[in-house]
Amino acid sequence: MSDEIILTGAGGWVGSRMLHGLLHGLPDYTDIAAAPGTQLRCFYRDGESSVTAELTADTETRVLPVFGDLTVAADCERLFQGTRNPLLVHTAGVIHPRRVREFFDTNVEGTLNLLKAGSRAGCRRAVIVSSNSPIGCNPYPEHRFDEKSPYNPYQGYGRSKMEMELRARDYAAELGMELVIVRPPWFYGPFQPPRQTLFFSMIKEGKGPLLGDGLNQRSMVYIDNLCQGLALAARHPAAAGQTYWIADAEPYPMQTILDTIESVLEQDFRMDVAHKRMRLPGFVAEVAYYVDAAIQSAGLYHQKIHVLSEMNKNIACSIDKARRELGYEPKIALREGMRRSIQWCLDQGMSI
Amino acid sequence: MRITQPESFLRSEIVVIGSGPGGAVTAATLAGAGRQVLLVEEGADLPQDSCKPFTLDEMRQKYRAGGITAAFGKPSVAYAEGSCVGGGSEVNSGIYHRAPPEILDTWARDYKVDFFSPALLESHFAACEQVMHPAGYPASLPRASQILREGAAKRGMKSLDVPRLVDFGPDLDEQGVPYSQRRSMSATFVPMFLNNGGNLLAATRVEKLARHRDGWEIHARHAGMRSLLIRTDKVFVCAGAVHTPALLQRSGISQNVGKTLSLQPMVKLTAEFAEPVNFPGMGVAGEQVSEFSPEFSFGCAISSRAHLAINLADETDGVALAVNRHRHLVSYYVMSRGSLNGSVRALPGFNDPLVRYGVTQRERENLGKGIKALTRVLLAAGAMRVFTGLSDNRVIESLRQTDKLDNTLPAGFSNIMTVHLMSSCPMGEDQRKAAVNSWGRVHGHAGLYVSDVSTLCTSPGVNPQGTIMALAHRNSEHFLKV
Repeated sequence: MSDEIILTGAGGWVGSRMLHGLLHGLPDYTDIAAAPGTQLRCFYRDGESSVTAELTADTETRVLPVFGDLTVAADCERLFQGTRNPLLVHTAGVIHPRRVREFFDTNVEGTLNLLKAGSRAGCRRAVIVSSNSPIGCNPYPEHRFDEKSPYNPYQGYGRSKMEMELRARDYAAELGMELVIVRPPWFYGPFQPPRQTLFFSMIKEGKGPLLGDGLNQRSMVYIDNLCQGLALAARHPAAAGQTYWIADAEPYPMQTILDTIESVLEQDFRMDVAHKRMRLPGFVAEVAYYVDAAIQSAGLYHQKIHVLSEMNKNIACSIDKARRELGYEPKIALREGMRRSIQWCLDQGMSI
Repeated sequence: MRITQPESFLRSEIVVIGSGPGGAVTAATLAGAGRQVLLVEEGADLPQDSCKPFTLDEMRQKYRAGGITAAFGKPSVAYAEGSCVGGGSEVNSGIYHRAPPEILDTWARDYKVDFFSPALLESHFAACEQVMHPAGYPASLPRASQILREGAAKRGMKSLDVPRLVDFGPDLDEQGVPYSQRRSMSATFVPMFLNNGGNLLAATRVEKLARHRDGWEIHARHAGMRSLLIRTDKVFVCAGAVHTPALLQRSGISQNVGKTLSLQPMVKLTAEFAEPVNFPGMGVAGEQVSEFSPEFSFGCAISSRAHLAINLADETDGVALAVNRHRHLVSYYVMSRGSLNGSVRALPGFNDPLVRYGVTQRERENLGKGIKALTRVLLAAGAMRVFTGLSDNRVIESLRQTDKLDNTLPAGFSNIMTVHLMSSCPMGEDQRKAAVNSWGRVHGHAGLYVSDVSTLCTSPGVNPQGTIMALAHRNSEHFLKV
């Protein structure tokens, strides 16, 4: 890896885990730690709490926090100021905004600002985190997306990520940079935001939403698996100019996801669980889809309705290309990953 | 290879629709880089010498609908489009300009065109010029040019021989000016394309595009009858300012498509001289007075017998005059810069879309001022009379009479025409205005590009072919890098 690394979204879920990984390695992926002497610049939003002394103790990697706003070109310039041929790992992005416009400002314009500023500093490779949403939903449960699947963006977020991918490719070509696009589906694991903890609570209380038959397939990615994918995308020569799906080894049926969480809560953590589901007919998700579309077309965004609209969809991908070309191998699967997530929540003093 | 008997199912990595300056440069550049390209053209595949230049035969063979198409509005504007392999370059006068730098800068600013400036376009203009070699007259100017230059000098204006895309031959005409032949697309980029392994399919109209897996499916009709299906990874639509937006609309793509259409409204004036001024094979001269540019300019127009007859059709005995006195007649044009005041809309069940354009007050002022200035220039150069095409003051015979000419063309004026239509799918990252991105990719679609005159954000105020070719070259090179 490069001597200098720029990490955006360092205060976010993926970014903070990646930061941890670069400084100390991760339990199953010790080799993703940056080489001793590496300079690491972390980009935080103004007002975000930044890297702690605890995290930077015991490491020879120097960490410099930079605060600013991706949508401000001058802030991006400042981020790269004085760096030489850095590597950019761009994890910042908006998933659940208040207004659809924010998707485009941050996800598209912000990314382009970074690439422009990066190219001036001689940045050779940029790894950017996209999503499953530019590709939409699988036509049937057994179908798997690969990197050749056509764009079919899901709502405003999907369109913003599609635009981000396409325009970033255009920019990288003009700027002579190697661009690597990483597409993770739904992720889970330590550092998860409150919305995911709420999901565990709902399952414990018997309110885990199950729409339709629950046999729809969802790819998920344990956060450390994703960090491995990002590290490979950043390091591997074959990754230049490529796109990769990075997920757990196999997709899971929705019902299995809920059952697994319930079983971990009960058996591993000895919690009382209600053994019930909030069973809703499949059309509820369809209704939510149209309500979501209507809200988004008005330029607004409602997180719960958006998430509900996706609950009965198949969103499943194949990681064959990342395995073949990068040697990506996810070591953590659903049960172990969920156990670690719940452990982390409890360690943080959260109640489920 | 020329495909004359196509199978009903074809497959190519890249398909380019339309073989005019945009499509031919795109196809040749991509094929030159080793890509597999199929170039599809609605019109016929005819060599440059299939007819005499600027004749009625040429209009029948190489123009869409024999050259008779009109944009509705008050007044309506007649427009002419090439429809053959090579498109507009096969029938136009080959006048070559680069778009003025200040216009390119306004596009970059107002439409947010990325990586776009006169300096960044330099290499693309140069690459096309190396193939096209635009050139002025090697020695003496034809009489039509001299008239404009003398008259302009007497009126205190400057007139220039604008380079044209022609080859000058060794033989001289009666005035001692070498004969010239167009360096059209069929003489340059189309043969380059074929030599680089490209496949050309003429006489094939594309009806519709549809997404197919991660590529596109093209529904087409060959020779007016047989249905064809073409599958491809990437499509470049280069069918011109009217048919590019119409095809996209028929394919369900409408965001900022065909909502703006610019054209450069033009009127023709014809001057009669006592002495012979028109010589067989003279072609069209590139002489232009452009000091009022980009608002308006005037210069030499096609003055073949056929074109003179059309230009004088409204005059009493105009056609007879054109036939009998054509050696003494020569036509000139006044061209205004266009606004974005038009639209193109595909109509279900019709082959041709509805084209509308409202000539603005400003354009009527430009044309009015231009007619007045040009009439004075021609009289100063010794014209006996000038046919203005106006309903009052049809014929002007003296400088004193020019005082009667209005500074604004009347709203009911019926002889406005154009050969330059553009801007119906403007480029840029500003998604409120632009249909395609900074390199021609249609917004919201992968693998679908437009690379022709439609993507010019506004009228450049000069003949657009040079700019179209440079943009097509730029877009193709970018495509190859991504």
